[in-house]
Amino acid sequence: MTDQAPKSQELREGLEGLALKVVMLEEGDLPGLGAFLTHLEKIQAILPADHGPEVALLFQQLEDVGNKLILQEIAPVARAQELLSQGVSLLLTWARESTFPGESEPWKVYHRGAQELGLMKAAAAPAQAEPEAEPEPAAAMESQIWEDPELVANFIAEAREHLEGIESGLVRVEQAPTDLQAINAVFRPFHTVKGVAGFLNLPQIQELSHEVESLLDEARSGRLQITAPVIDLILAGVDRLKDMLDDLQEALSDHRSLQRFDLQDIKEMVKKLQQQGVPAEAPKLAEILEPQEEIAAPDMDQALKELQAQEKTPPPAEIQVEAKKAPPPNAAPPPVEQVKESKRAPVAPPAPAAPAAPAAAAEGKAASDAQLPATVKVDISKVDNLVNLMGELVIAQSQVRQNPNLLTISDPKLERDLAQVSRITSELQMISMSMRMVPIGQTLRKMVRLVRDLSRKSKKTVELHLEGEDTEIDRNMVEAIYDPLVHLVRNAVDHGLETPKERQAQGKPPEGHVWLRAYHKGGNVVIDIEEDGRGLDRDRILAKAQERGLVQPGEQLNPTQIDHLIFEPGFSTAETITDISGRGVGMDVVRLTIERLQGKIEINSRPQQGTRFTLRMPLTMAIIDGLVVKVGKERYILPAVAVRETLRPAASDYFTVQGQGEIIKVRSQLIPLLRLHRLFRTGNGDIPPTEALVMVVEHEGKQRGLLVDDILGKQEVVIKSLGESFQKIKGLAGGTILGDGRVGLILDLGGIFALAQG
Amino acid sequence: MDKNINFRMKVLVVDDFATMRKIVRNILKQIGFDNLVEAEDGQAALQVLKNENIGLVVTDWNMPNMTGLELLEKIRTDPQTAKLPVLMVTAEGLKENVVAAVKAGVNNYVVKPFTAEILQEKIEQIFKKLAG
Repeated sequence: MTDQAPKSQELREGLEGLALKVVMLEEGDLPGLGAFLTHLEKIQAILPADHGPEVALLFQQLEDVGNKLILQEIAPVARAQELLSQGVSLLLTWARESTFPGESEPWKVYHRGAQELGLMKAAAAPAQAEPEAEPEPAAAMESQIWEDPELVANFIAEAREHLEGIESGLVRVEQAPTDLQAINAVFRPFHTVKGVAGFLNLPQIQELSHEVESLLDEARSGRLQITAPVIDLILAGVDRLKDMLDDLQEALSDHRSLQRFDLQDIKEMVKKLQQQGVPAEAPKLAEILEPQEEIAAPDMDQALKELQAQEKTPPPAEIQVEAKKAPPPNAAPPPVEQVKESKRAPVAPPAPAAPAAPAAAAEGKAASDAQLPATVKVDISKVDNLVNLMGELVIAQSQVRQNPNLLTISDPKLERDLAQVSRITSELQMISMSMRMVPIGQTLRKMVRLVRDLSRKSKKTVELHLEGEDTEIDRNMVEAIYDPLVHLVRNAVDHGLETPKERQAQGKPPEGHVWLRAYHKGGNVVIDIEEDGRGLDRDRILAKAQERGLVQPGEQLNPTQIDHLIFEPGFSTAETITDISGRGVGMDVVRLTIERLQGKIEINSRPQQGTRFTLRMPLTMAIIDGLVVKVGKERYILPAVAVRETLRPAASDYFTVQGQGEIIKVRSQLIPLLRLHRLFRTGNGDIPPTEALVMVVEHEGKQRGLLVDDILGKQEVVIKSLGESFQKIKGLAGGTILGDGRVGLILDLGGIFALAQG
Repeated sequence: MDKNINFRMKVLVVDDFATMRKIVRNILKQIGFDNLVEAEDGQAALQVLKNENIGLVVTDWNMPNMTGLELLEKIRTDPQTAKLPVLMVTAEGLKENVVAAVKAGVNNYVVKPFTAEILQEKIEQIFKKLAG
């Protein structure tokens, strides 16, 4: 024998083993088929280099048949298994006799069998393109959807959560289009949504996620370059899916049937992109609008110019649409925007868009094991109830403590026990409140998509920086701050930042920056929205405020006061027209919303350097730190944050000014004095200020002195709504039950200032 | 009902999507299994396997951090669990996945969406083979 002998020996033994595996094969025997295929691979690795074309064909067909048996794509199964056995025995003959039995009867039999099973064609075109089979919903599942509405509701919530992840994940993909992990993170939610939709008999959701998934699958396998149009399409898919989920939710609650969505546009775009394969040089920061379907850029420019021409007075920050197209791909780093997470994430590679873990955590036992944080999903209304009841418990507890009969008992043990009870209750209250706290990250990350869209539309290059995503905030506030946040971010990109050209002309880097920072400070949640744009134009603000009669000519205002004019109702109206910022929703609405949350909004702006909006809100809307004050027979609670100082004015510091009412002088500053009983018409005599207390309170940069009889104490109060009928009373933010069981009214300073003025 | 299947055995359902776990659980219950545990990813699944006596694993393919295939490979390389029946849940259109899973030693697979009948058939196939 030649030196080839040991190898052919090995080959023979391998093929004998393979033959044995084929013989043992039963119908539907997946482990057996798996063993067969891995064995086949091993033999292929030791094939002599000079094996003929028939041998190569045989190996290919054996593998093909094996795969098809696994996928149940070949029938009849018995015939296919027989073919395997015939093929292997042909190979054995070849290995034993070192020549291929090309003209023999067994070869002919095999060949005929292979043809019957349709292998010959398949061999010619191995990777048969998947037929455009629409995923058919399982007919047997037809009735399942309304049978288990809870399951559908879970699906809606979970799918939405996963879709949120996609948006920030996509930004990573845009930066690193070849990062397989990032693509996978975007791919997975569509894939999963599609899978579940199949079970729940939601054919349209299934169809849409299938379309997007198939596009992403091309990208995963490297057949498609991820470019801006691809990402736009995926985002469009996300939006459509969200619409469908909204519709599903409504259908679920109204017991109506599902709406029919038109998916033709998306399907066509998918097809188009798949066919193009998309050239690598496709510009990243692409034109505003998609090629054909939409308006061409020149038309858009024209329309905008006309709009601008109609304006008599230009808005403080006008639309800047550059005729210039996207920068050439080699100039300036292309990322449309960048998310720089200042999280001190441990090792983790840029773990893309990990879906919020806590919500998805299992109810099952697995989650309670070792490393995983054990989480339980609880209906939010239960938590709300708990928080409310805890508030009541705190009050009831302090009522007991202040019971006059109890106060007469001097028993050290009772004292200690009561102290213990109150410690436990306040701890319980803290814990129950913390149950409602969620990280703000998800809300901040929603801005990623927004900024991306805005920057594309306004042709400004924007880098978005998120900081403090872990900062916790009351869940009930999350929704409430969303709209103001969107508005501020829009303004930042739309009006705050300049175009790259303008920026360069000023010696600034062409890309603008927007920072979103969340942090806790002094019992507040603070959110900064900052950009490094042009800063507020105070001359224009002042001119406009005068024109609208918000400021009297000749009135002296400091820069902060001027900046705050933009929060005045009626300041920004229809003049801020861009298709991005929309019409008429002014900053006054933002301010109102924040104030309704017991929060404050501040502006810090420097010309040519940028503007920062700071939102300061209490950790929770349920409780405020209040000062309990007495005015006549009434008790009011003042939010402690608003109180600057408390004083008893000397007679010489008290004036009555014609037409302006009472004024006190606090260190060279003149502050109007307000009497609550007059504003609320609760009667009771007028005490001279020298015998009462003046509390200097501040609201929106304005200071007023509130005259009160006495301060009864400082305490945390649980805010209770006054109910429908009293909700709109000016000057009152709500009510609370005080320690002695009486009702205290919580003052709303904005309303009080307005009352005093009107 | 198949005499090869012990419906008392503990079945582990692995999927990162809670709704999907619920669906698989419901279907398994319909078939007759009521001793069910779940895990939201491969790591958690391995932990469960370490601590509990599991008779069958039904795992999704597409999961973050550790795919179903990687989980399967880990199960097969640990002598404690090497012979444990594993059923892979996959989506249509991902054929390479199925073949790879079968080569890695999966006992059976099922394509989403599936009915209770289909899943039952697949499980029966697994245990019939193991018994034979």
